[in-house]
Amino acid sequence: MTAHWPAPAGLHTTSAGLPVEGGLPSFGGATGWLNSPPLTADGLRGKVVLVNFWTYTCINWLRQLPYVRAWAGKYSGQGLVVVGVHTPEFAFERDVDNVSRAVREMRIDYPIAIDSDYAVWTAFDNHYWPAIYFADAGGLIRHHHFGEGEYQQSEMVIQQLLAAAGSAGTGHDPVSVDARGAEAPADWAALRSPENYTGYERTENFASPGGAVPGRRHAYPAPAQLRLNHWALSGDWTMEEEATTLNTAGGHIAYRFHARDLHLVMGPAAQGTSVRFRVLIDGLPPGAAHGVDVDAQGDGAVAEQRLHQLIRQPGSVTDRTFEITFLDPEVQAYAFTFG
Amino acid sequence: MDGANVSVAVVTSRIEAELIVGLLRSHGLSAVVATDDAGGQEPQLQMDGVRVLVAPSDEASARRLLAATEDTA
Repeated sequence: MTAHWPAPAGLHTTSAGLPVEGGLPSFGGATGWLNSPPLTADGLRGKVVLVNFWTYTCINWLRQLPYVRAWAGKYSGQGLVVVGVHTPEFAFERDVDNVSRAVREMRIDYPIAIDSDYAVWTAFDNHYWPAIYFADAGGLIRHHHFGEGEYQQSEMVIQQLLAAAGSAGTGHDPVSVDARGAEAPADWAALRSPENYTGYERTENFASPGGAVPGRRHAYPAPAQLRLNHWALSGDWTMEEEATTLNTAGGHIAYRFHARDLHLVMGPAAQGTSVRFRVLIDGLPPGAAHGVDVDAQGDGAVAEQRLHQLIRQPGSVTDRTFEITFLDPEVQAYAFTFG
Repeated sequence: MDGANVSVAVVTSRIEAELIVGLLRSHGLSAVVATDDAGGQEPQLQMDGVRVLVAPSDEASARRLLAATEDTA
């Protein structure tokens, strides 16, 4: 990223124009901390604080992470403290071991508050994954941003707040990031498929004949065809509130989508096990369109509860049918996301 | 601390979720919205699965209140 911001018109030199949105709320409801002893709002006085709400399978946060990581690396020595607040979306994200593994694998070295009870989320009255709140050295929230994007504007705010706190030499150049895998920016121009869930609480466009049978084991038949953004099960599955679990090997999920990337949040039902799967796109192995968690023949295995990138198409994007067949039982699927 | 982590409603828009949260809070219950956000870049793709969460201790009251509201709608 080499873009430069437009002429500052004072924006680079002062934070006076940023409104005061309130005091930095308490982190006292955190149930644990990673990479740091517990931090407090009072203890952070004198520091510029960036608070990033995240949950480790959220694709919108994953695409924001390269910037947050780069800001922590560049500005921590100049008075910035980045605090990640991990508030779980899915039940398995309450497992601290899962969060710890994500922190390690995603190369996150800034402090993380574990917010499994939503207490910090509630204290901030936050609504979104991801969200960023910027606090000045006096402990006041001066800016916020919800969702992806506006990275240069956010970095400008960091520079302004650091300058106001007396930090010299932050410069005006934005960080450069090299986002890869699921962290790479979405192809927004081609994206025509929204996030969808496989649990009955939030699923949309479920197309297996006969519909969903919530909470009970059921032999689902495959439909003859799928419309765009519709999905279906075949095989012996149990559709639960948050996830759908395969009971017998050979179960199958099909999804008609329009996007460059397809991701599936999934994991083995039992910790320490691995479930083999095979992916097809329009009935063929993905070849060059394989994601980072599957090979060109479409073969892969799921051993962890996390987002798996299964398709990344190198060429033109059109309506396609994705299919995944699990060769072993006891896998749980949670959500499809696209990029 | 009794945080908000039980889902009592799933709606298709943030505005509807905010209205439900307002209703619950007006009755003294702690409630929040939780949803993914793409930063408004493709808002038409962000309409599904907006959840309203309450504290476990408020779940029963929230469900009664929401059921009563549906009955009178």
